Amino acid sequence: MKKLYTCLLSVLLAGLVILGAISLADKDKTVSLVENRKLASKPAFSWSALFNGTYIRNLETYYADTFPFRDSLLTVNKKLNRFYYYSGGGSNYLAISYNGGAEKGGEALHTAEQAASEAAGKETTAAAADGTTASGAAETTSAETTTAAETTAKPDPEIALPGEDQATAIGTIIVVGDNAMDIPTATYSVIDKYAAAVDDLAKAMGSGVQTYSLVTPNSGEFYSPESFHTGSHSQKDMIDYCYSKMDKSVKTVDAYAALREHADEYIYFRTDHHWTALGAYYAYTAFCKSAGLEAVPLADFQTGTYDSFLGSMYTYTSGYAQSDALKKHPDTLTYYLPTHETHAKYYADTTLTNGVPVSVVYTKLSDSVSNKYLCFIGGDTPICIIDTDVGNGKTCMVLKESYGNAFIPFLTSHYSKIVVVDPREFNHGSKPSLDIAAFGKSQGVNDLIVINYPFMINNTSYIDWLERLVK
Amino acid sequence: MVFSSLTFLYCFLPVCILLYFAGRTVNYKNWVLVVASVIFYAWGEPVYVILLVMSAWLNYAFGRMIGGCRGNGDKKWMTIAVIVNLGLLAIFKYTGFLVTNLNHIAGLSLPVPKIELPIGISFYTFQALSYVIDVYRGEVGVQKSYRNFLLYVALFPQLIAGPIVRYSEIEPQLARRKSTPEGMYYGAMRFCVGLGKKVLIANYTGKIANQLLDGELGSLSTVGAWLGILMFTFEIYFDFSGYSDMAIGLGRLFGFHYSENFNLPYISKSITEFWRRWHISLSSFFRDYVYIPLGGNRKHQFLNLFIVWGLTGLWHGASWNFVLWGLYFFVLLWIEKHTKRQLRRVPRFARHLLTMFFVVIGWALFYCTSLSRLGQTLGVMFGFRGSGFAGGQIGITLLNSIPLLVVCILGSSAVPRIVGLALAAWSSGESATQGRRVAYALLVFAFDAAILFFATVSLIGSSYNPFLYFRF
Repeated sequence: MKKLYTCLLSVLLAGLVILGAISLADKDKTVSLVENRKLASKPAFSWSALFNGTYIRNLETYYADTFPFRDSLLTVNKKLNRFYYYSGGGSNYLAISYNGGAEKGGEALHTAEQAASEAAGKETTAAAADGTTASGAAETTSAETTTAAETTAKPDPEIALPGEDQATAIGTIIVVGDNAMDIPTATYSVIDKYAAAVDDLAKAMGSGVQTYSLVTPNSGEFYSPESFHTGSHSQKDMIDYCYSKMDKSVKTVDAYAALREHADEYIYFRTDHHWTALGAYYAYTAFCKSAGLEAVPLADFQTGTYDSFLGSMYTYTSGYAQSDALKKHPDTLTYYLPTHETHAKYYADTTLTNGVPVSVVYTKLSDSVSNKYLCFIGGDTPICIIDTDVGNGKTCMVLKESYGNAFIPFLTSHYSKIVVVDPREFNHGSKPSLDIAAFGKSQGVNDLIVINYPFMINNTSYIDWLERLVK
Repeated sequence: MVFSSLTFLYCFLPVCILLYFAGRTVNYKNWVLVVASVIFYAWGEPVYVILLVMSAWLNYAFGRMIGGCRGNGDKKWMTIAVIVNLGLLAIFKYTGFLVTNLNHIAGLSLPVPKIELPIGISFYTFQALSYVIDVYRGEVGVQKSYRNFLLYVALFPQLIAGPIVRYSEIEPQLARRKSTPEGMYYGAMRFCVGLGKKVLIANYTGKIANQLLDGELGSLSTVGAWLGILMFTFEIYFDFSGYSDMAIGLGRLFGFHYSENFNLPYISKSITEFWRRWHISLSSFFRDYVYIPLGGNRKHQFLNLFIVWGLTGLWHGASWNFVLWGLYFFVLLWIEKHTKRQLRRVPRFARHLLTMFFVVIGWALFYCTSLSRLGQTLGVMFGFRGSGFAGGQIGITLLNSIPLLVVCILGSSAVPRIVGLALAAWSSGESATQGRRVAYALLVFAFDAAILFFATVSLIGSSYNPFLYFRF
């Protein structure tokens, strides 16, 4: 028996030693295709990093990220999760909590390209400018940028991995069948602050500018089991409360009713946390009602589609067996092209220099761009200015996170100029500064539209960033 | 460093084992372990490792002083040692708590210093303290070698989460010990079991407990609150006892024999029994070094118990809820003491349920470090607040966690032990053949290797971090 014990112990030890040796000696991968992210790289040693603990912490992350056979082990882990997250006999249920991050900024098609153009200086900019002035620019640039996107699709963790200074939004993601939804929870004291922030923005813009507030529900409100959209999860209650707290001078847009009325249509993605362009269209009709505009009928738009779109909710749940149902049944994104001719550029700051052309709706995103939602104004950029051939001379400014992106193309039928501002990109850390009142005046803004979804009206960081736009 | 990490399992441990068995003398082996232990500690506490080494040196010196002046100042040195040890503990663990309370009581606004708690300080301070007191009492000899003393205090298997090892247990093994293949095999298997408890059970139950109990309590339902606390009940048991299993197992690998620290606490049929089965090394520390010196049950027992349980609570953390938790058990034990005869008439099954009910409520006190959240959580548990009986999000979470819940209930019951003992008897009795013994060894090996594999999978899985520009 002694021999057997020794033998078994040796097998075990050999296993540890061999795997350990491989882990230290093998060539490390730098990118995980499974997770669509850069893997941690070996941290640089410094005494201060050693003593404050970050060196060891990063070393541990790096070691786990580059562990041999990582992808295969992750596949096994997904199977293991079938046990830990039992989904019910024939059904497919999952509820997990998450700490939402990435509040520093969103995702854009051009992130890397912008850096390149800034580095290369005026030459690139001039070329880009040429591209826009040429007729049919949108189409040509979209083809260009899509190829560029191929190389930039690998996200740069620098811009969006949640850092320590960021508040995390805690919520729940549920999967019911082939539909994944994120469920917001109301914190009414925070919603008060959001309403106050919108009031402050309205006041700062002055009496010549009409401010609209549009808070849209997300899919959880319509398709989740009852307990996920009632009580403190009732998005209707959150929105009603939020609107009731705003100053009378702010016009509130009842997108909720419009969406509710069409809840049996394809107004939200099942694998992504956004609404579809159709959902955004119904919100747009509600906006038109508030603003006294005549909405363009749906039939008047030219449309196109992207198939096989697996969005953020799929990515987030992809470590769980329940996500297989989403993968089997991906989303189709249908876009509606602007009815007017548009020219758009995005800029890093209010100097509006080095603009990079974007399309209001990209029709030829390459397959390598997995996030098809980026087809709307190319995703999130600090400032995006859209000029249209609507000859009424009216200008609107839109403050939004990515929920606004699918909404903005519809506005191109009503304004000569649309100035889109992403509040996350200004007035904190190393970001450029932006004074909303001054910038609005310089752009000749007539209407201000603040569009958000319920996670944002419950998010103190986002509200802070809105407030900081008011000097 | 923690046992349940890839760096420990695949780098630190194999290197440590190879080096340890590369030499033959105890002297060499002790050097390997001491260096390994200091690295192990420094990995997680690159600064506080100095505190550990210094605290060990001070207590080593106190031991020598007490031994050097028997009957002539040894009491003085013992007193100094106790003050220094408790002082260090107070500074590094309780300063923030003390200042906050002082501010509160006296209406001051002193700045509350933010001192990070050195990992394991409560454990190694108690070990060192027990040594100094035992030397003073003449129960153990004085350790002449600082290296060996450091090895006693800082031996990495038990350094950061116990058990609180007594010097008297380990003294002979510091100088002479043997790693037999049987012992090492047992140790390795025991380690794997502990690893499984921690990684494959406690980590998951913990996630669900946090998911349910850390959110907005207004949206928590009664069922949700109970599931959350129940999950925490299992988390703390599997986490802590898993850690003790790993410590005991690793100890055996290197030839050390540690006493058991947990003995199926959740099968208890009274609170008294629970505390004989839960964190045994801590309760016996308080019994031997606080309760009995205070007079035990000979004089003012009520007061003695009150002090012991207040301190037991406080030892677990610098917050009032821990004190409350300790005193809660004081009250329960006192009631139990005086209703022994009546309780005996209650059926065993009901006594078990009643005991577990109070233990689970105890974990609610333990979990909620803020008293207002504690009040709210208890409110939800007993149906006064929250989102109703089974509202909120509980349905899917409950469904998702059914298999885990079954594993937890079975795993903390006597079933695994009964099965294990039956198998062991089958393979080792007089009638047992060699074939049975081999089959048994292989079966255990397969089971534990599977645990190691799945624990690795799970640890990799916990680093799964799909990239998202999520919120927007």
